Amino acid sequence: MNNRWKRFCDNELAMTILSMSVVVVFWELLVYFFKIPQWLLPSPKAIISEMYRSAAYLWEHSLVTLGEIILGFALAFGGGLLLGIIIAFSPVLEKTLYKLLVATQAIPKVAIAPILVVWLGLGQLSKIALVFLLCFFPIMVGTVSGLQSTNRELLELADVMGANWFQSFLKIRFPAALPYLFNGLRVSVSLAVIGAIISEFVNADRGLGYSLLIATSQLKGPLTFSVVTILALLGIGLFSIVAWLEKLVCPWAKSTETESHPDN
Amino acid sequence: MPALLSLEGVEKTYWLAPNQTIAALGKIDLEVQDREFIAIVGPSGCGKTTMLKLISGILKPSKGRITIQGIPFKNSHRQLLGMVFQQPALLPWRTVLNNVLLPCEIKGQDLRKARALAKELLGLVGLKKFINRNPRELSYGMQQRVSICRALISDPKILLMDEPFAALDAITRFELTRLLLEIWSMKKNTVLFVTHNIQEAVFLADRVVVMTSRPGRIASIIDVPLPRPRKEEHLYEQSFSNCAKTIHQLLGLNAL
Ligand SMILES: Nc1ncnc2c1ncn2[C@@H]1O[C@H](COP(=O)(O)OP(=O)(O)OP(=O)(O)O)[C@@H](O)[C@H]1O
Ligand SMILES: [Mg+2]
Repeated sequence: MNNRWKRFCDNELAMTILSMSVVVVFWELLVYFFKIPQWLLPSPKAIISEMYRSAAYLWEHSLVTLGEIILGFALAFGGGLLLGIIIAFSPVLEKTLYKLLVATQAIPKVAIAPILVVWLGLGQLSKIALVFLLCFFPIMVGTVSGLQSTNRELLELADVMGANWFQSFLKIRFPAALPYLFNGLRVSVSLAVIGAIISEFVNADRGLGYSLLIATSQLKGPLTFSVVTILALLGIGLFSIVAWLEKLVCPWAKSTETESHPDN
Repeated sequence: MPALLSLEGVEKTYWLAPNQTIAALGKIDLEVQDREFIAIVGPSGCGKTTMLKLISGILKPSKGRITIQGIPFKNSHRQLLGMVFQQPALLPWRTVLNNVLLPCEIKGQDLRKARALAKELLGLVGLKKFINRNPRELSYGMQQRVSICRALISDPKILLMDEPFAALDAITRFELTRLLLEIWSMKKNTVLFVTHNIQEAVFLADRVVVMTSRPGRIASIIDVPLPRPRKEEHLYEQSFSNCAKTIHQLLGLNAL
């Protein structure tokens, strides 16, 4: 009995589902007993039926936002990785460009969103650009710090074996940097969703951020909350993909965490 | 016929800042013959690691020269060298077998042949069952055995070992010491073995190089009068303890 209970508590998925269900039931009861109006706080049931009713509309806008997120993120991944590699091996660029880029992080990038619209127009380009700007930095920093913190002994080992620069990069430095890179990716994938929504808030005629604004301005409670739910699911989904990839690509990175669990 | 390895007036000074230096290694003159087993003992910080790094080409000497078979260091010398560090320094993303194969991959050797040899070596050190495991699933002593196999895979003429057993418990330590002697008697490499342990040095080596504290110089080179193959009984013989005592005194005198 005790043992089974313990095993249940250790099962992360079961615990997540359980705690979510408790929240949903509590929420439903709250709305029911206090007769909260729909425009203020719709019940979970109302939200789900709204999602079902407006499925086509929500799907269309989700695709727009997802497209912006993926494009911006992919560009940031390519650019951040490339620039990170270059900076990691160039002391001159590290002292100049890298310092400069770190300094620009003091600018709240949300404030740039309207400027991007002025520069890049009302279309999707300005949204992709903000996602890119938000995602780029964590990926680049992850790459640089990963490549620069290779264990010295491993590099000396490569040296003794007569590895050339390219070999020691490919076989030692880069794999060793992967956990750091994934740290950056996890941060930036969360930022990507935020970036897309904010730039759609600023100016857009489609996308989830746009439909969220419209729904709230028309006091459509269930629709508003449907969009928020989708955004939450989108964020969780993208984050899970990155986490899953990390497990696949560098399973050694987190091993110390799982190993420290006593499995009794 | 020149010695296999020779150090002539080798010095090493580390530059910490433009006007702050550390003289790590004094003036080292040493000749090592083919198939010799040399142990190096000395107080901590006397430059033993530095010396191995100079020989392996990781560092360049500030003064003097190092020659192998009479030829000053050049890149092709790396083919003749294998190194075991104090830490196993295995790549966590590679299996045990692929860690051992790393030098062959880098040198572009025939991997099929190398794989067979790697398995043989891993079997020799008692890790046959673990070849497809990840290093982190192995104990520290097992990892160090893997790193010894990695050093041996390219059949180096000179094997450099930097306190490879220092972090092991006494039992594992002695096991690996015996294993090393066994391998050495088969492969007949030349070994330079750094250690803090006087008993270990005497038990393993033909000659023990005793160093002074920083800047490291050679205080004396002691011949070990024990026959080969070495056996546990040798540990209790008079000549063994005499030899150990001499080294002890040499180190004790230089402790200040
Ligand atoms: N990369 C480095 N930069 C500056 N100084 C160094 C460096 N490596 C070693 N030293 C210095 O050189 C001296 C010799 O170091 P080394 O590591 O060779 O000693 P060691 O004999 O191997 O010591 P131990 O027995 O503790 O391993 C030490 O005083 C150390 O402070
Ligand atoms: Mg050392």
